[in-house]
Amino acid sequence: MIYNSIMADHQLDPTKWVDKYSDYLYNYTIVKVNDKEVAEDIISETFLAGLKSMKNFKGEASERTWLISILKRKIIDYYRKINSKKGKAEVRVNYTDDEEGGDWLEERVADPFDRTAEDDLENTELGVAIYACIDKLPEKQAAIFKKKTIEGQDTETICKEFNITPSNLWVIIHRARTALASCLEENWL
Amino acid sequence: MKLFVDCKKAGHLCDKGQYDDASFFDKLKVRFHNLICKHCADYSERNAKLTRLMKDPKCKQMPEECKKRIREELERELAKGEQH
Repeated sequence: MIYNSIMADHQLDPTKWVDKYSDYLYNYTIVKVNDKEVAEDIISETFLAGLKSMKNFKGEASERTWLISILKRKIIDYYRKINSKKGKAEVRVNYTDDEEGGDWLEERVADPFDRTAEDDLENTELGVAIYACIDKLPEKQAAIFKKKTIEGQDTETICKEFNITPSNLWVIIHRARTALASCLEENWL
Repeated sequence: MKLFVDCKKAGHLCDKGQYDDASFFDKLKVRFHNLICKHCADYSERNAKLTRLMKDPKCKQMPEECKKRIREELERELAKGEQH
């Protein structure tokens, strides 16, 4: 497989993308496009584009940062498409009315995303902040916490899946909650 | 039955309480403990706030059927890649 041959600090593992990043990317996208189905499509396209450009991944950024950079481009593409559908004539009327030359709608749409630094938690939405914090937990801890807290699965089901005892589960949940509380504390708690 | 519990137990029951896995008496034990323990009272408060944040409608998750669809799509693409 291609991704095993990449020897660098960060590695790609597309088989885990959906479990690890889909909720984070979903929250990130939905505040920008404000439509569930559009968000779903954009994320699906992002993962597929990621798969195709895996050979370009140099391992300098984390897997998540790399996927986010692809996602940003997909969101911009989405707005470009909408704008061209609306018809250029309409846009040009605005352009001639505008005193700041050269600043036409398409540029304005593309612009705001560049300012959104990925880990700038102060300016992000709650959902993005929560999933960014969950992402910092150890992988197994994050998976168990999500199943228990977000998916609302019962203790027994999760214990079976991960082959752990209920007291193991509660220790993991306790660690995850403590870590999340301090991660979210500054801006949200 | 013991109404007074130590910090470790109180923290554990408080966690369970966030998932409706704690009984009425469990919750009562946490309350009693928190009356005499500032540290655990603070923990309970933070824990409850975290629960509220997690339930906030602004914290969304991608629908499960959509995740499934994307997972399958990726698997198909990966399988294609391996053939070459």
